[in-house]
Amino acid sequence: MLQVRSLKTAVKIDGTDHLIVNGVDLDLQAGETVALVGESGSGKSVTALSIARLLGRHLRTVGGQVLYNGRDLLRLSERQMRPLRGREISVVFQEPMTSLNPVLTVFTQLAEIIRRRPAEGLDVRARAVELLDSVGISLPEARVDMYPHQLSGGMRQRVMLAIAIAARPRVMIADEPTTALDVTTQAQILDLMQFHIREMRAGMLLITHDMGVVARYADRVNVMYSGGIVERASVSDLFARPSHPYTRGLLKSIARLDRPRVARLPAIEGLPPPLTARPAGCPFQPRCSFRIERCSQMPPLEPVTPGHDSACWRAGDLLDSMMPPAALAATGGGA
Amino acid sequence: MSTPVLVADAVCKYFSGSGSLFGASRVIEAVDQVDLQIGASETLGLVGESGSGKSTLGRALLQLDPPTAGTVSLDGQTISGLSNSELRPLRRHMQMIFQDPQSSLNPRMSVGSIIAEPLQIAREFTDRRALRKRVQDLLDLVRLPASAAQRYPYEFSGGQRQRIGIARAIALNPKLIIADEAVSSLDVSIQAQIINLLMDLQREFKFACLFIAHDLAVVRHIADRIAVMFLGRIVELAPSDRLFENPRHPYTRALLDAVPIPDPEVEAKRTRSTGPIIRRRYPATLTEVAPGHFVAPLEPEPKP
Repeated sequence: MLQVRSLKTAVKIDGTDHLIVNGVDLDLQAGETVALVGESGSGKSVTALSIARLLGRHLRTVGGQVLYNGRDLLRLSERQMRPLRGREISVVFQEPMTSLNPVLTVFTQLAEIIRRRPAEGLDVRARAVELLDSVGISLPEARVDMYPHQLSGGMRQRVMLAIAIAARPRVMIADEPTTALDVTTQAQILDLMQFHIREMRAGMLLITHDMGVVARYADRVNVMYSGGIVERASVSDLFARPSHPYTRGLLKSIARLDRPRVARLPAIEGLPPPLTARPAGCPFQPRCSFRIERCSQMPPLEPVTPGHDSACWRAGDLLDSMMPPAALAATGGGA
Repeated sequence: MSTPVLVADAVCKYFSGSGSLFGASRVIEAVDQVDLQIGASETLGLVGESGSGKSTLGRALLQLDPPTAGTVSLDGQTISGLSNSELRPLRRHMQMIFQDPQSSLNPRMSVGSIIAEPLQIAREFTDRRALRKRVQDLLDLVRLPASAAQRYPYEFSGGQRQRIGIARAIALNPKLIIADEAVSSLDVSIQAQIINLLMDLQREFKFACLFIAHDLAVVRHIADRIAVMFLGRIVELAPSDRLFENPRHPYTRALLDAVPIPDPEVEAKRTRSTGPIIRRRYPATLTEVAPGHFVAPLEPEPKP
């Protein structure tokens, strides 16, 4: 349904273009949730903004295609794009206060979307109340007339979700939709998103840094590092057999509630390379304990097993080393 | 636990709300009747959602916003109710590490001056060379290169800036450190580095630590005991492992259920309670249900 091919988006720093997103491929089918995970600066949010064509003035997509039902969104004019955005492709951001209009009531903002799909006997107000109720807002009849500032953060994010689903989109792009919220609210909102996505048979691109959220809600995962996808797999494969040293290091460095406490978290030492000084070849090599000479050339994203791709020359070694559980414990993700 | 470094007894922090358009102004009980003790070398985790009062409690304990009622003592000395001038010589014993190292470090000061500042205020070194040496040692302790001293905060990443904040906090060898969401804004791989650093430093310098955070997995990793705060009160307090193995309070359980586990197989098998949380206070009287495990009554207070 949505295919992203070789997407490249650049930012201009001191007159030079730097690729924040450097050749990203993504596929999204109807009814599935695909996660895009990575740390700040990895390019995951810029990928989302590029797909929705919502880049600010400083960012520019310089290559690739975003195919939606066979049409390349990157070739559409803003005028052609506008009816797609919000109706067929909905975007939910982290901070709802910046995407909600502060001077319009919840009802006004919902009604605008509801009226875009006119239906016979449509009672716009009843539909708005019903939508608020479906995203878990209590007393929806009263809250529909409130302004965004009168609502709590969790409540605003629910309103954003109601607006996003009001259009019954085919594709939902959610960029850290619950990062600013408390964990109990996060769980309720993500549960609701998942429910609506399934019910509408839409596809969701879920951008997050939280591997727990990925494990709970995603069907497939793409791991981004330094502008590119370094590993992609089904969610079960990725967690059971991480085949890129970065993914493996990331999974090990997370404190976990379901396992006995460890004395020390195995951190990935060092920092991601700055945008302006990315190394030639594999961007993870300065932090990688599996580095070999060949890593000065960029490894392609290739299958290690069917449906599981890794951009690492040593993905095969990594996978082999994982077979006996003892070896898994012995190898470190970081230096 | 030996003699506790920090003892909080029935600490309350109330704010007067502006009041609604109708009726009198109301009092917001941000923190209500909190008892806590933290020993040397011990880390007490404080978890709760936004608005639970955990940051307010941290600031009240340090007398940054003095408590409305209750007493706080540091190393046996009562510090609540003291004037600013009485507090000043005691401040060196209690330090804070903040969430956002970007906004807590003065952008116009070099890293060396930022770390030297508390040492100079405390008149710790009269000799400039000795001061410079101490700054270098502190940079080394937080694993930053000596060259960092001449640079400015903006030249560093978030994780490195947090190391600078930590160097400043430990400069005077405090007895108590309160870390308020100290790793929350950092990326996962950097979080682990900073958590390890804090734990190493505590082993070496034996300060008591109140670690305030909303990430339960991180708190469990770093804390010896954990207090769960809800609507201004502690609802459960227990040794870390015990709290997670045997949570007794419904709010603690709801909180634990909500945390997603980074393992799809575990997640697929999990049953969680998904209902809304009752937003009503639980009574402040805790019962010891097992050694060191305290629980508030399981029924919330009736609606006022």
